[in-house]
Amino acid sequence: MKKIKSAPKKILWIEDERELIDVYKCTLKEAGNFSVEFMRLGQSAINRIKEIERGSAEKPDLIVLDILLPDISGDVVLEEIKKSPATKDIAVFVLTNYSGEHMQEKVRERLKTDRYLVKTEWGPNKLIPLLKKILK
Amino acid sequence: MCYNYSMDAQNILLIASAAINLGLWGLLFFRGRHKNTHLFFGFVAISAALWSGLTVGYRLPTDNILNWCRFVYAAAILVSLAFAYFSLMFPEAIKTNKFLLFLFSLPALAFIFLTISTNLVVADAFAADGSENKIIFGAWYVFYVLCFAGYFILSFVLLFINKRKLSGVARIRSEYILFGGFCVWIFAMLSNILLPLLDIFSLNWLGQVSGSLLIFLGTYAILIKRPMDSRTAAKKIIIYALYTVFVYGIFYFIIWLYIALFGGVYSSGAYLLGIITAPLFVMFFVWLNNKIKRITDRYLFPSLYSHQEAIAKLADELTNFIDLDKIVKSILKSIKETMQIEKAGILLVDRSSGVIKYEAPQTFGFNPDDLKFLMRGGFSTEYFSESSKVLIIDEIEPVDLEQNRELNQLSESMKLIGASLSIPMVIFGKLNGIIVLGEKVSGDPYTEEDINLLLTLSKQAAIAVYNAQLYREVQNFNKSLQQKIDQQTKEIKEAYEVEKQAHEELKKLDEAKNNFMLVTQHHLRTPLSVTRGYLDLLLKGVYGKIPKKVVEVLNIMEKSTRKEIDVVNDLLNVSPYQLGKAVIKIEDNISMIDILMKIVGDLKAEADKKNIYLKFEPSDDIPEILADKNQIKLALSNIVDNAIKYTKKGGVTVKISNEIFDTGEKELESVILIAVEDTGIGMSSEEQRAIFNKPFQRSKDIWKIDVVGKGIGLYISAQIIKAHRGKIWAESEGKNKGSAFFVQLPINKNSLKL
Repeated sequence: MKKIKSAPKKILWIEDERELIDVYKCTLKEAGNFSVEFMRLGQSAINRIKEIERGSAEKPDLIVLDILLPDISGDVVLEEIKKSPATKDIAVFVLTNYSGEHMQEKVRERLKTDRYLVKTEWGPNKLIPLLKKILK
Repeated sequence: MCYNYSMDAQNILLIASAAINLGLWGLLFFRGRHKNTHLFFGFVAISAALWSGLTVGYRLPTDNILNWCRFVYAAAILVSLAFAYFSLMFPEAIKTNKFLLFLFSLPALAFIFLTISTNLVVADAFAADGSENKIIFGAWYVFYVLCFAGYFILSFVLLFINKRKLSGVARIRSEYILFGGFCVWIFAMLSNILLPLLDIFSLNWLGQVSGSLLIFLGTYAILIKRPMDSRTAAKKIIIYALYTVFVYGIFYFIIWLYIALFGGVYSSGAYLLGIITAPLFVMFFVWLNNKIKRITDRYLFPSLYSHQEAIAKLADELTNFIDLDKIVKSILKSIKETMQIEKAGILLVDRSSGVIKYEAPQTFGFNPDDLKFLMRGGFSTEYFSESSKVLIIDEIEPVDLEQNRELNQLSESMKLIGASLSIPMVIFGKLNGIIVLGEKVSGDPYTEEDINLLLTLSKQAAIAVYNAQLYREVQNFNKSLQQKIDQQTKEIKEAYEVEKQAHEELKKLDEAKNNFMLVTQHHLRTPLSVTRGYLDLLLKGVYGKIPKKVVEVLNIMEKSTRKEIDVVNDLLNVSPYQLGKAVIKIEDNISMIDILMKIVGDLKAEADKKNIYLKFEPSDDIPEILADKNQIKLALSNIVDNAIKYTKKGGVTVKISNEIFDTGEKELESVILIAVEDTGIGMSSEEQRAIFNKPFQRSKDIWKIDVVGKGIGLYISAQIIKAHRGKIWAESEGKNKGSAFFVQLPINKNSLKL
């Protein structure tokens, strides 16, 4: 008997480290039924938000966001996400190596992110179950 | 003999004259018998009294008219001699010897002898019915007259020369005496000497009586400190004479009118008219009074000032100014012009510096420094403050000068700079300034009237100056206040700029620190997260099946990576403290028991792994406190974790208690004391001190134990406890005797107002 394949959950992942993109890609492939798109620049993410607003791009089910990006800071991207009515309801995980209290506070309390995760604490094996739980 | 018959008006006048002369001599005697002036004018008075007295005897019915007559004429010579003697001694005794004085007196003595004992002067005298006694003069009578007149003329010359040299009161005195002496001389020459030569004896008593005029004027001039200015005196006499003439005239006019109209003074018609005339007379008198004064001022004594006018003029001027310089100028100008003074100056007291200093803002003829020179030393200030009287150089008693060396110095200083008098300006009992005046242009002395006027003016001046000073003070105060405000505004602005700059720099520094931490965290953690990610994937078999041996290696690598991550986390945790960035977020109602239970619960597994015990001994009476829950948990967790790591045998006991400390201040301090006791490797006293101070301090024997170094943990704990205003310290009996870590946290909420 074949399992009925439901539509894959769409994840927009903003991450600039090639190695980590590779690790997460493999992890998600293994976990199955995820459709993930990686972006390496904050500006690309903001552009995507604008596209979603206009309806020219699909709305993801989850956004994973790094803070320290080559162009603009992740919290600025998060602000844009939360500002736009089209994207404000999308669950956002911040997955970063920066654990500054000030930043955590801002992101958690002001921008209402769903999780603030530190990469070293959340290896792939620990991360996947959490993603699955959220996207269920 | 009938004395009553002979006691006529002339005799009464003569007796009165003698009595007055003797009385005035008595006054002179008692007021200063040792003074030359008093003594010699006394002689004049006695001899004049003698002259009058003897004349009474001569005029009474007597058998011996000739002898009485000779005594009378001898007494007249005595008067001339006494007056001449006096003029030699006034105002100061002439320097000569007794022999010369004897020679000077010789002519008079000779004529006294000749008059009394020969008939060379008075040959004979006899009574005449119904008129004065008649005298027949001798051959030498002409010499007698020359002698009498000569002494007087000599006196006038001496007095006149002296008067020219004198100034001040002495000058006025000599004027009075000159005038009195001249009157006596004229009357005596006419009525006693020249008219009798023409066989007219009816006035042969007038000279004697006029002697009293001299004695009275002289005594007045000598005894009164400040005799009236002679012109003022003359003015007064003239005014009173005019009044007398007027009243006398009206009196007789009305009587004549009454008799003409009503036939007598005591009739009903006269009474009725009197009711009308009396008020009319009074009104007319008042009008005339003003008229006479104006006429005498304008035509007879144009140079004499009117007090009221001067005061009114100055008062009017002073009310127009509030400026101190103008007021001072106005005061001096007014005094100078009213009194015609050569030099005038004003000294003002300056108390602003707490010490009395003098300023001379305005002077005419004086050097300002000279005026200040008068006030050097404290004496002058003291003198004028206490006496608040006018100091007139001429009037200082020689006795005072001898006794008071400082007064003498002041008087000499005044003379030196040409000052004649100083008037203190006193207000509210405080010396406000001093007006210093030189001599009058005329050389006349200051009279009583002048001094009264000056006192009044000085009072007005004191008030005006005081007001002006107050005004100036208020102005200066306003000015300095404005300056202070400006200065402070400037300072505040500058401080604000500095603050702003500092704030901006701090902000920049803060940003730099944040960026530093961001970058550090990123660079330290990213390689580790990559390694960990790939290890996870490898172990999960994402890259295919892996031999068992490799899995073991991968597990070791995964474990090492985790440890590495822990170390990096510690390092990153401590960096905010190192950068001075950590801030604790205080919450209320934090239960330390809950926190410790949680810590013990979390670390229980760790202790179990090492096969040692981990106990918590709670207490009942622990109040909730203000604390940063997460931070305080981290701090205590580090300590307990550290204790477990350094203990091989035995275990760790966590205790909590409520302690009360006597801080030595007013209130006792209540604190929570947490103790973490272990049975581990212990510490030297050096280590106990250092362990919380350096982030990377570790126990020396750390290598002996199989633990990853965690020296950073205790440093962070200490920083957090300090940020809670608490204390942290360690105790150990020594090596291998275990350690105890203590944390003391304040309960008093006020001590944690951050």
